[in-house]
Amino acid sequence: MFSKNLVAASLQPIVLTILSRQEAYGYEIMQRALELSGGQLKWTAGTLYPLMHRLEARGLIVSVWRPSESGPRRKYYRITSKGSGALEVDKKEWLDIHSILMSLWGTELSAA
Amino acid sequence: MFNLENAISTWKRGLQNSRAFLSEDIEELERHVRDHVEYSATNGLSLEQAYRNAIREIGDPLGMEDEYRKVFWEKVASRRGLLKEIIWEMNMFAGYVRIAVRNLWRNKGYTSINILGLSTGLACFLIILMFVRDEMSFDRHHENADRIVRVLYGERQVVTPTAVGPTMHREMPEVESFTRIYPFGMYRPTSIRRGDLMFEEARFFYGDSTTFDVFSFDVLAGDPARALNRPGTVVLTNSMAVKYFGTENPMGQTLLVGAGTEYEVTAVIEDLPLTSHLQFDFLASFASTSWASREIWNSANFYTYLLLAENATIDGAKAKLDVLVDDRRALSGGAIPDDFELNLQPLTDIRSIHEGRNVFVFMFSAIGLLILLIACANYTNLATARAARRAREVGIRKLSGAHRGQLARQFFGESALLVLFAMAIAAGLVGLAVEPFNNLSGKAVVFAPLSDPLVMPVLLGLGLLISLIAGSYPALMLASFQPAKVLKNSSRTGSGSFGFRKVLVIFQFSVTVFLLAGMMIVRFQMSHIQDRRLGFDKENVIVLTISDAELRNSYQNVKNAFLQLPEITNASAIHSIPGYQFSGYGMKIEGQDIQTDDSNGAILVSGIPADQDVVETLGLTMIAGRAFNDDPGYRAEDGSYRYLVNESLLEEIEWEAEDAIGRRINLMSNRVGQIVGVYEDYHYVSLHSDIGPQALFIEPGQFGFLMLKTSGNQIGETIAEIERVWKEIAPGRAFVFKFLDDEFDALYRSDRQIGTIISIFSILAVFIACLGLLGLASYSAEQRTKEIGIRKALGANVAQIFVLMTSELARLVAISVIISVPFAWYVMSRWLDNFAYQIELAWWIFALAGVTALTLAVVTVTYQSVKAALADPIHSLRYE
Repeated sequence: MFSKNLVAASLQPIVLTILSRQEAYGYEIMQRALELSGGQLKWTAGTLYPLMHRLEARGLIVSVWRPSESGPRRKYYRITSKGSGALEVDKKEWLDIHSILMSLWGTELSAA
Repeated sequence: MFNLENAISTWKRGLQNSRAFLSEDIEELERHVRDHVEYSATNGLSLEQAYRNAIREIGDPLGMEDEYRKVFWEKVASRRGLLKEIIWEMNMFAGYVRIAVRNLWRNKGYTSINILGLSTGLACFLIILMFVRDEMSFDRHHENADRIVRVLYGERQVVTPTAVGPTMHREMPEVESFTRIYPFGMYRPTSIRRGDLMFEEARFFYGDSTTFDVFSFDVLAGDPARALNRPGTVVLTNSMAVKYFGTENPMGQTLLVGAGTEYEVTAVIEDLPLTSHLQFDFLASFASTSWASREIWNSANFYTYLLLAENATIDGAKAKLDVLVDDRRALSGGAIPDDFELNLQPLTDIRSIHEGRNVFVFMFSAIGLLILLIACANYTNLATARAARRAREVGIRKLSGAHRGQLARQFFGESALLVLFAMAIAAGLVGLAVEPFNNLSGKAVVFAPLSDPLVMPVLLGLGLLISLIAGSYPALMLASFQPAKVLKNSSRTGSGSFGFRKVLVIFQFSVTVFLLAGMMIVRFQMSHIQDRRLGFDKENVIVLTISDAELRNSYQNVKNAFLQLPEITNASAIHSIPGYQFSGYGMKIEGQDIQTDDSNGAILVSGIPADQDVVETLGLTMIAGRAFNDDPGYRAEDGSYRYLVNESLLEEIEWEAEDAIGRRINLMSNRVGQIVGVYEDYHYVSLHSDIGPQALFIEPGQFGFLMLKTSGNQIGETIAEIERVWKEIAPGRAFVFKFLDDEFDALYRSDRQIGTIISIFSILAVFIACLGLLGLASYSAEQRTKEIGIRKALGANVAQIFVLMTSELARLVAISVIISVPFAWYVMSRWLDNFAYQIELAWWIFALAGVTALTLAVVTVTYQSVKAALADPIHSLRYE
């Protein structure tokens, strides 16, 4: 399990990445993250939805209600071009941080 | 059996109570839960287990609410469907209202006490507000109200000589226009005739043609600019036009005034509003009087009003006026005395300052605010007490996830709803009370809550303020309860807030004691005045007006005709009746240059022309010399006057009563004569003023009234007889009679009105405070149920329990007395300064007020205390 801060920080790029492949509803996004991380990324609805709403308010994603055959309608989210741009920025930042950490730890890792 | 739908809808309701969630959010979360349940169920879990997992997975409800709240406004702001949100919010609001109504209904006793107290308080405040506004609006209806000033002779005298207005207008550019108003009918009612109609009119005034330049009247007919510019013209108010001309057009028609002078009606104006200090029904052209052509500096009988120029200031005008007066004095050769001074008074100060109404306005504003504060304190107090009672409910709701803000909103909502009710009831009460209040105060206040620019905003503003203030304490206090503590030991809850409540009770009772003491002092002072020995006998004296010249000239015959009636024991003609004897003369005495008209060194005395029988008719007490007896009409044989003087006059000139007889005085001008008798001081003006020097002398040309002393038996028949005689000797004249005692008592009408109004509001204030106490007592009894039960179980008797319950209250009231007495003492002694004859502010008045307040308080709580004391301890202890 990751620390709370790290989960919170990585939430946006992960959500945006998932949505950049295909539109999805909240529960679906959570399940996909869970699968992708091998069960390590366990968000709660209480953190996911407020984030989705914030992203939507900022124009990074849009939502649309779609009927469902298995029950009440679902709210689907889709990434916008502004969201794709934000994802690119996120991606670069995370990779930069990653490479900094790698260059710091590279020797230790190989020593291990 | 687990039911998923029920479980979900219960869970959803929790979210709906929070403002953090939009309806869409809840729908989304619900779908999320369903997805989760579906998924878990397909993995083999029971529906119930799946549901529990789903809810757990959603996370801590408080944390979630916080997260949602953080993005709430961001969301709303970016949202296109703002309307949807508003509808959602209204839905939420309706939910709050529903819960609030349910809560209020469940506690009907509390609710009605609270609404009753608050609505009474609001109604009092509104009525006082309208009263104060009416007072403040006096004389402001004139277009140039801010530029109009009245000239005063000295500090207070309102009548000035004829020369003042024209001279100032000619010589001071600051004076744009002026008018002189001669309140003729006020000195002596004037008979006005048209055909068979004849009335004595006291509101017949003369005015300069410029009156309409200075003042603004609503003109119904005629040209105001020319209405009064020649002799023999008169302007009528609408009701006089109807009184004399009915449906005829009065314009151009004539009225016969006084002995029969013709006056042509040249304009009709709307009746003067009650908020005008100047009150007349007829305004005849000043040019009709002999005064108009004479500009003189003595003989002050006229109101002078000035319209100042736009850029002029009162101070500037006053400085110039002083120079002007000095100038004229130097030229007058002593006719203008050294102490002659003119002052300028803003029109808008006349009612408030000159007539002293600002004292009452202040008093009423203070009472209004106090009542409002009592009502608010009450409201808050009851709300907190009751809120404490609901601590357990709040604890449970908190445990089941209610958020602090949610609870606070609920309390605010209940508070606002109560206030709304109270406001509606208050408006209704004001609507009912406004007529009686108008009758009581002689006002014509109109209550039109919807169109009035003041009432609605004030009511709504107050409502909002009160619900916020009164709601905030319970809302914030309760919402911050620690549920664990509350549930563990509910009987101790709220004890911390009891200090606050005590303060409110002390405040309420301080105000109560203050108002009670004030009310008693006003009452005592009024009866002090009414019971005071006046020095004359005002009982059983009937007053008739004989001011028209014909009657006055034959007053001796008129009087004799009445004396034929067996019930009439005495009769006397007089210039003005006791209570209204203002007429002032400059007096010179032996040793001064007594024969000349030089006013320097003269002392001002009240000089009242009366006939030979005045002493007997008024029942005056002679202390030296004799009454007029058979002194002939005007003067003694030697052409000199005969005078009766009062003790105060002798004191003023330092003569002994015995020595004074036979010495000479002159009431200017030209009335040299000798003192023949000295009478004991009597109250010839109201008891607001001291008795000053007075002299009586015989001068039939000035008689205005005939006083008939009756035996007091069969008063109705006597009046019928008097009317019969009147019809014979004064045919065609309306029979109008008054009783001397009524006329004298009328001097205190406004004091009595004020007294009554203060009493009413004081009683209401006390009533509201007691309502609060009632609620509080039941709360306190409930809180201490267990304590009382234990005490009784251990052997305490009913009396001891009663004392236990009331001693606390007694202490609070005692503190209130101590706090309020200095205030009451200060304020009431200022009020008493209005009277020349005051009661002593004895300590026992305040003690009485305190004891009354305490008694009321104890009586109020007795029911609750006795009930608590009599309760069987088994019931109170059982549920532990």
